[in-house]
Amino acid sequence: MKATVKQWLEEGTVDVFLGYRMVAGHPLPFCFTREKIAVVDDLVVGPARYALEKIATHMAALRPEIKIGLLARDCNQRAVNVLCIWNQLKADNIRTIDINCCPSDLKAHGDCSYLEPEATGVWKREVGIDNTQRPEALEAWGQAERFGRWMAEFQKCIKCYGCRNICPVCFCKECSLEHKELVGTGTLPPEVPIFHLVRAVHMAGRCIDCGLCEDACPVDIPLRLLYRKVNAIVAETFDYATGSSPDQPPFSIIGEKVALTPRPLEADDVPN
Amino acid sequence: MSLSGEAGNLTVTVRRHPRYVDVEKCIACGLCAEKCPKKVDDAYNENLIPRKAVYVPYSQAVPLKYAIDAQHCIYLQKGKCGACEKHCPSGAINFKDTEKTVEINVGSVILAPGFRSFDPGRLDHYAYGTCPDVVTALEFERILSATGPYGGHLLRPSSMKGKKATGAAPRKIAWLQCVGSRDQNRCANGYCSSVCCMFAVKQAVMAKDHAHDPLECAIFYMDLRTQGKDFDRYAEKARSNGVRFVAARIHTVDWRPGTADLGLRYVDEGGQLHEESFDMVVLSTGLEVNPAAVDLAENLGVDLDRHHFVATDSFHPVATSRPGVFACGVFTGPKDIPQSVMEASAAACAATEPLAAARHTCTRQVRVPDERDVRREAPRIGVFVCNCGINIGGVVRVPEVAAYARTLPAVVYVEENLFTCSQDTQDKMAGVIRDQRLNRVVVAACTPRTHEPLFQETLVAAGLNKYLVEMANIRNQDSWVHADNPDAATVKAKDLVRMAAAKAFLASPLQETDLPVDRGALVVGGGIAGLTAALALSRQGYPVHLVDRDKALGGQARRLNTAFQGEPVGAFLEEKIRQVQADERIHVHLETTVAGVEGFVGNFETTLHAKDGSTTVRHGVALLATGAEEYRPSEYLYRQHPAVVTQLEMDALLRQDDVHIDQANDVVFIQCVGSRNAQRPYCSKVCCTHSIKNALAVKARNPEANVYILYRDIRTYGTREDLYRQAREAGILFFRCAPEDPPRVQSAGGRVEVVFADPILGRRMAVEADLLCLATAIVAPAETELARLFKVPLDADGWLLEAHQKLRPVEFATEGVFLCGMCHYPKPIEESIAQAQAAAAKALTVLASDTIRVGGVVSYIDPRYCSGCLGCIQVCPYAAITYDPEARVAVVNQALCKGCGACAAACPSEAPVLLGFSNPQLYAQIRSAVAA
Amino acid sequence: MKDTRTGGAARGAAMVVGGGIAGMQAALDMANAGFYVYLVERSPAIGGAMAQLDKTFPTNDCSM
Repeated sequence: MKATVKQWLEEGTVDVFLGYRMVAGHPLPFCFTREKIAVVDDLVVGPARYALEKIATHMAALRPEIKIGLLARDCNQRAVNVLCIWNQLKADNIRTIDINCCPSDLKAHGDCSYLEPEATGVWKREVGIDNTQRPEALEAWGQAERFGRWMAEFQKCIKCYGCRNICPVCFCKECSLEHKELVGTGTLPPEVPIFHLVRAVHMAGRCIDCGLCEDACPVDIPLRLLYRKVNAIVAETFDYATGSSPDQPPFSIIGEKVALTPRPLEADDVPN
Repeated sequence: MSLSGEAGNLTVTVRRHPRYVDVEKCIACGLCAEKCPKKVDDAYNENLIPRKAVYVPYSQAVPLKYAIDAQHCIYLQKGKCGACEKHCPSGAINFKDTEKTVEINVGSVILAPGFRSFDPGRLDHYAYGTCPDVVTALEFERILSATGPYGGHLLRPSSMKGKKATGAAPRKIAWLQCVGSRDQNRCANGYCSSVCCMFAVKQAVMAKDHAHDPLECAIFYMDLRTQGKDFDRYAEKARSNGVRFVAARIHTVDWRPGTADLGLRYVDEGGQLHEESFDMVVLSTGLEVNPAAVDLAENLGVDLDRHHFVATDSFHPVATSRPGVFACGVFTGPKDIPQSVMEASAAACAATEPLAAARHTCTRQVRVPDERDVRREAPRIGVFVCNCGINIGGVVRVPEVAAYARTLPAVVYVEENLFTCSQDTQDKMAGVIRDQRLNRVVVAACTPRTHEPLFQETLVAAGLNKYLVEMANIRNQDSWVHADNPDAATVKAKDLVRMAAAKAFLASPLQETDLPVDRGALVVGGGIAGLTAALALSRQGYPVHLVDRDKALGGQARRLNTAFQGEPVGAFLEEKIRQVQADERIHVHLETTVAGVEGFVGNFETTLHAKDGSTTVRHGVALLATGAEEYRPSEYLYRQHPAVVTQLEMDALLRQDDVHIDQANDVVFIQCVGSRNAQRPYCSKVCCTHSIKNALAVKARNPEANVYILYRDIRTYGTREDLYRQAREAGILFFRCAPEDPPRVQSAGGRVEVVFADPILGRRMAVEADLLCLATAIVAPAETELARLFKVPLDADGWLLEAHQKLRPVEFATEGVFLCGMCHYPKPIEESIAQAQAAAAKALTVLASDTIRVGGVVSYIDPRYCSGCLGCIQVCPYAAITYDPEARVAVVNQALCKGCGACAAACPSEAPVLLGFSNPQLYAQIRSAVAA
Repeated sequence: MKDTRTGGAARGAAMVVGGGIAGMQAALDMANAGFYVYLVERSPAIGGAMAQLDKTFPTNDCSM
């Protein structure tokens, strides 16, 4: 792998290469360059996960023609696809080296930090939501209970914006979460649930289910679960598999093919 | 009405009937009708309910002014009463009104008197007029309508006492087709009315929709004639949703008075007799020309055909026998709404062609005062609350709403009106704006879709920017839907007014600029449609670039022999081509394709590729007339056996006096080859008529030959039905073949054996044919590049998709681009010509204006917030947004933007600002909505 | 521009007889193309037969 990276840099296949390097015992993202090619020997692959492609978008914004190589797990690859679709990266300018991901029939070894879910405490299971559940499992609760449990989770929020800042597909210059008209300011917890639902809606057609938001969340809100639900709706309604290929057009809600049938509000829909 | 003078300068004498109501004074408050003691059958509601002798025909009537029905008015008949005059608050009643004769000098006249629905009262075997539950199609339409006699509830007339139902709703409804159509014996209407099949299918679907309980719908038809664009799809969908189609003509409706049973007896195609009862029967009554229109034609010297339709030839579908007089709509033959709309535009084009030199000589320019700059003024809002007669005032407590409006921030003036939209209110409003120095106006009334332009005009007349008016819809969205709850409706009206005032507070004047219009037109496609359009535009004085990828002009028409009335196509086409080539204003580009299109309405720049290089032409409008192709079948031994030919090849054989025709003993035509199947679920529209015409031509040359036509439904719509009758009289044999059991063809030496099932004889038949003619489908060209270049949509079958199937049949959502001919849908020559003239008429509305106005409510993308994600570009239905790769942001072309707001909704940030609907305005509105 | 087809000065105005969908459409198109139009209708209101229809294929738009 190191040989490949060196070769790419030397031959000009890429101008820079984004990977990890050990700093004080921690694998941190690092930008390897042609000028200091010897440093490539320090390239490591470990359980650390960063949105390297997000760093790539910042670079591309400054120098649109720069060719970037990066280490990519499956989730990074999906994020690259989405970022190409949304015109934040140019597919021609990105080269990836696939690295281990979740184990599967094809991959014996996996090193994703999601492989060992933390044990969920009793209290969280009682009144909140167990992060390790599947979205379908939540449907077993009635609407009112589900709403109550989500509110219990959302109320822990300290509005650190960690979920957004780490998100590989968040790239907007102007973020709705900081929009005074949409999300009020000056209170903690932030306006609940509007803060989280605004973000959830903006994830439609973007979230590639990497789970970094949940990793980053200091109060353990099951954000990945929330956006998985969003993705399920997007998949069912628009037949749109977010991140699965770089060829899809941006998620577009206007067209002949899509007809949303509104469901009348039921009494159960409105929590007391 | 009478006519004198010559084409281009006619004097028309028109009799103006007395209305007995002064339209200048009438405010349509409705008091006169409330007080009028005389009840009259309401013709608008097909006489199902009464109206008063003083009336407006229906609540949305234009003009919304009352009239007195002199035949029934007690005062006018007997000299006593005058209740309306006593109660009219504006003194509008004028019993002394008299008939006036007016002379009007015009260049051309267009006749569009429409039709009347066949009156089945003339027939006694349908129980119409005796059993109230036997109704005509129009009566049924009124029953389904929310503004109809039963408020839109599907109910049986026999169960009605006034507006209340006393019996059960219908459970089983039968539609009987061809009542007063395709009938020479019981009425003299031998033609097909063209519209009733689709009308019945739509009604059956709507009836099922309206019914609360399961409803059985059965349509009894002879041939299902759903030949229009997307009609077959609709009919198939109706069939899969449970609408039953029975191929049988019902002779009699058996009704025993006192029962709810309407008995129908019919023989199915297998010869089996059935008896079935229904509790409601709809007679699909045909269209016929009104006797008054027949008189009119006679007065004006316009020739009619044997069915009383205007005699037109296929190449001049809107011209009459009298120069200067044109006709359109059902008067020239039975037709549906899209076809009527097309013909109307065609007539507009043909009628103004000889008047082109006098364009703009009789029109008047409106003068407007200079606009006041209000940008530095603090908002001063005036609120006008409308009663809309009793439409709003009858439910919402308008004085309370007005008093509330006075308490709102920046509101300095409030007024209540009976009709805010009336002309006197407009004059007054303009005065108030000036006197009170208002700089924002809120009208709490009805919908901006219909009335905003009116109030905008008033603002302009008062020197205000027209975008400073805001409407609160307290009628459609309030009083109409909450008629049963005046308290809640009044609260909601206040909410709506408060929201509108909050939005108006932040309104700012929007700028509009004029861009010049290039006077040239580009016509793509040199077939009959393209030639017609090019000539029409040139004769109206505009230069035309006519582009065809072929070596010669003429398109598919070169391969046709005659139009349906027997007119030879060849000579006509040659003459057209000669005229085009001789025309100084038409520049013909042969063997040329369109390679690139830039710009927008009024200012297109198109790159043309020819063999000898590329050129760029500038033009204001583009007309697409790229035509269609013949389906090349793989079935029925085509190209494997010499006896098998397509319809166009048959035309060639006839044209060349081929011996095969003269020597043939048996000639078979198979219909719907490649049409109406899973791959192409549409009807190719022309093939039935074409086959019958060719079958008759074969018979004429070779009377001894046996000629067979194997069909699914014979679709000789309109007066083409005469041809079908002639064919049967000439001994041509027709066999209906079910789509599940199509004919089979195998080689038999120099002939082919055609085997098919005849349902009536219940037997399989075999014919050894010397010639087998396949009525092949018309298919859309596989090439779709042109649509992409002009940013216009294609439908599922590959036809260009017009802006609105009924009301905008030659336009696209993209302004300045029009379509005509077979690229829209398969159609016969006369319809292609009419559509080409229609497209030219629409193009003229652009070319005749020196400038186009851009701006107003359009989107602007703030580059500071744009992340360049392309989301807005994907959702923009007008292709008005492009990506600037330098600045890496999206940019709106305001000439293309229609202000729909899709970009603003799609943007994850708030980069697009929809002017007039800015986010701060909308947030203010929302805040104000929840502030109550 | 001299007019050669009508032999004399053509009028820049036209008349439409009938205020149904066809008549209204013809009148609008001529007016928008720069001609003065007289629309003549027998009944007290324009709209014609289409105004009687409830909904129309294929959009199910209200006919009004």
